[in-house]
Amino acid sequence: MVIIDNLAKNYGGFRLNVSMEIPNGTVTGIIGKNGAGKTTIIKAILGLIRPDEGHVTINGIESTALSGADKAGIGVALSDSGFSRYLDLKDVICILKKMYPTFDEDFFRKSCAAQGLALDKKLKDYSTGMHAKLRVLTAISHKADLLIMDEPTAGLDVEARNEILDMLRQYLSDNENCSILLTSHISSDIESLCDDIYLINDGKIILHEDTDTVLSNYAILKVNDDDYEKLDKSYILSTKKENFGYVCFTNEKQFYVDNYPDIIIENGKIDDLILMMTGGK
Amino acid sequence: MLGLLVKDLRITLTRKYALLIILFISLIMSLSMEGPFIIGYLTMIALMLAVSTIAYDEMDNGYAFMMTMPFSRKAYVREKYLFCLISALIAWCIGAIIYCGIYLYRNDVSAIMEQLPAQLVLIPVFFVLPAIMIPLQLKLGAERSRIATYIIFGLVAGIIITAKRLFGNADLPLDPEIALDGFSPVLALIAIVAVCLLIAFSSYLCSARIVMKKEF
Amino acid sequence: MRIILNNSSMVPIYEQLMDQIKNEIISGSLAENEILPSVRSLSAELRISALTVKKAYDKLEEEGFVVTVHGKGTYVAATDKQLALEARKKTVEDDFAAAVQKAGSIGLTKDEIMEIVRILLEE
Repeated sequence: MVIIDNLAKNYGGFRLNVSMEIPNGTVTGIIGKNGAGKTTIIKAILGLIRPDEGHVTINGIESTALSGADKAGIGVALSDSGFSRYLDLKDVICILKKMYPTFDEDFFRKSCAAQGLALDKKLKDYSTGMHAKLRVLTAISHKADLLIMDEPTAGLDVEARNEILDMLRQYLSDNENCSILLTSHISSDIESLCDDIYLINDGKIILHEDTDTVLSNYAILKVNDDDYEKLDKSYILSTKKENFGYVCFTNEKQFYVDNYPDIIIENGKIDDLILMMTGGK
Repeated sequence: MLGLLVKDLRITLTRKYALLIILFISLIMSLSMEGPFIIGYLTMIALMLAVSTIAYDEMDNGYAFMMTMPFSRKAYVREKYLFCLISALIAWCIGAIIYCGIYLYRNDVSAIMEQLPAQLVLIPVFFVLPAIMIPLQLKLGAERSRIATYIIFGLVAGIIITAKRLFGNADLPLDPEIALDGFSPVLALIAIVAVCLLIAFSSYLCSARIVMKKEF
Repeated sequence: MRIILNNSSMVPIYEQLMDQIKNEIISGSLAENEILPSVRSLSAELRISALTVKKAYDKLEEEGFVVTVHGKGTYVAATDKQLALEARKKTVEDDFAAAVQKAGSIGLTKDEIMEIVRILLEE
């Protein structure tokens, strides 16, 4: 279980201040635009940076005091950092074998072959997609209980994204108790994988909700000016002015479905969440 | 720490062409020169190559991912010194073998017996190089530490030249050469090794503190 | 188990899942005491969050359709035929209720609604 207790970190003009909990066995997503603070949170959890205030603990151990044995149970994939590009896959296998006692070489080799990652190719000749797949495979090949992934599918075409998500789904299926924390700005990935999501903007968490609740209780209402006047706004979270009238965002879809059968109601998606909660009134 | 050693070894081996060229050139040089030059040369090169693994770690933002792997920050620092030591030992042995090979071929066993044992002192003495370079590179990064190295060596050279010019001709109350003559070579050797060990250990403490504070 | 989900439907995903599992239990394609897929494997297959599957399983257990044994899995409960029939009747009643409400909202009278039902039954 990862507990982030009032973590505060300052970078020049930017200030991060968040609290979160990731219980065992959950898949949690952190979503937000670039610069919102997602990577800072990840780095704080992994002990790469020191909090200015607050505490981050993994299973009760401070992240700045994680031992080698603790880290062996964490699978990590960072968006812009990996093995040296001068190495090839054979080198990577040798290194992983000696680094992680629980490294499953057979699984790693088979998966790399299945994903088209050649053993002899130097990492500097890998495509973006191959790098991303290698990073994810590295993280899931040593039976880690906790996976921490920073934008695992960023910059990838939809096929590669799906392949990576399927890898993660398979891992979740094979390891019933494992937890995943991932950050992304690709909503569809989060929707199909995560149990709950944190929406972060400008260094603060502005929403924490179960994915299921977002997809079933949140909705977009599209109304013209007249209907907007008559609308009961008690459950409207935010509103945006449009040409045709207004777009409203609510977390009580059923109320509006029941009471306003004529207005256009669309299922809320995470993209809507982001746009309406960070941009609207 | 084993994983780190494997990593540094594999990184170094990717430079196999450079390694072979160095070996080849040093072979030619040692054939055309007298004395056990090759041993010191290879040892020094090995130490420089070993220290340069820090630059490789830094490349492409590699530190962030690397530091999430299962080892402590102190272990990272320890491994660098260990890797330098192992590299120096291996290079020294290779150099020694080549040197012996050449002199045995020339049937000059006495030369080997005279000069080889003294060469052992090169390992601790040359180790002063990584002792300075490692904390420097860890603190400043590869690029800036290179500039810092030039400055440091320039300063040291400047001090030596200035000192020589100032004191070279004057009468010293204690002539260093005469003073040292009194000591047995073994004692002198022990003293030198002790000083080098002290320097290496302080360097390690320095590096450990730098890495513990670092943010990735 | 053949589950097909409609992401664009107004019906929440967990409800769709529940309905389809219920149908399979009632129709017999899911036998008594048969084990359902684990929460994670089903969520992986359907590409939805594990919590959604868990919600569906929990609610099915509340309604008596399945039984969850901690540490082992979720099994189809031994239902008697009467209960199954009752449940089936209920869903039909719900569908009727929805249709009647819609008919009312577009202005059909009671007689017009009864006329439609009569015609349908004659077909």
